Amino acid sequence: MENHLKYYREKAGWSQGELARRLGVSRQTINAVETDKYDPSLPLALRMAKLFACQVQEIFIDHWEAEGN
Amino acid sequence: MTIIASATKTPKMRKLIIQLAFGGLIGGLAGYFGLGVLDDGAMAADQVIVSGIGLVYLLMGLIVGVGLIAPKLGSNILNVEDADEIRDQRRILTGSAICMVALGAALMALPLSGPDSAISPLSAFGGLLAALVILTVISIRDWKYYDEMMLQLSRDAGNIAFCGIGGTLLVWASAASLGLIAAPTPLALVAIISGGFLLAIFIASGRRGLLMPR
Repeated sequence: MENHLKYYREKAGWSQGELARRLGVSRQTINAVETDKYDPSLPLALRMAKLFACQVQEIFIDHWEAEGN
Repeated sequence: MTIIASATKTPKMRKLIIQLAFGGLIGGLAGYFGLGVLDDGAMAADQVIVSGIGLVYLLMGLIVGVGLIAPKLGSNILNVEDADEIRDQRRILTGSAICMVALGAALMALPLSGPDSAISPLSAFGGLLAALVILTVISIRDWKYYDEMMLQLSRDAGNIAFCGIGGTLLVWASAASLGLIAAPTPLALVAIISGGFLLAIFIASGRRGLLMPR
């Protein structure tokens, strides 16, 4: 899933290691999310949004459209 | 933009070259001397394959071990960003290194054992059981330190291994039961299972981008 995690992380001035430490995950996980290789769980996505004081959908972009819309 | 891209690409490229050179050198030397010593022409194909798989596990464990002892050197040979990442992951990496060395050594001992060998069949079997106990205990102990992606990676690798190993054995055993090919030897089964897990871990890691140079 496309995401703007790197943008928010760099805007906050944090390294991948710093963000990983704040979220309680490994740096590999942050790297995998930023490179679209891993979609985080809902709790982790919510924690990311809380950390950057924004909505989940501002970090993660889902291009799916409901049928008929 | 181009300058920044080149500046970030150069250390990555340098690191990739070091990793490839180091891996190639260690693998080449180990393959040449290790398998050369093991295979003096008296070993069957399945014995050589199990020894080779054991050697890969052993070398991976030793390389991770070197990285843990010397994190600065380790950051150049392991796929991590810097030495601190190795320190952060010390507990999990230590467990992995111990498991891989134990399993690798046990696998290498299997084809070398025999009634007239320095390694008795009972010792080789005991070594394998000990390695499996170590692997189980460390896996259970370290499970709580895995984050969600590492847990997902373990599940992915387990699924890939189950399908790959199961599928291979199903086809081989079916064909053998019909007399089309020879039935797998016990060591061939060991090779399929141990090699299958190794391959599954690489596939699962590759799918999550963990094999990409960082």
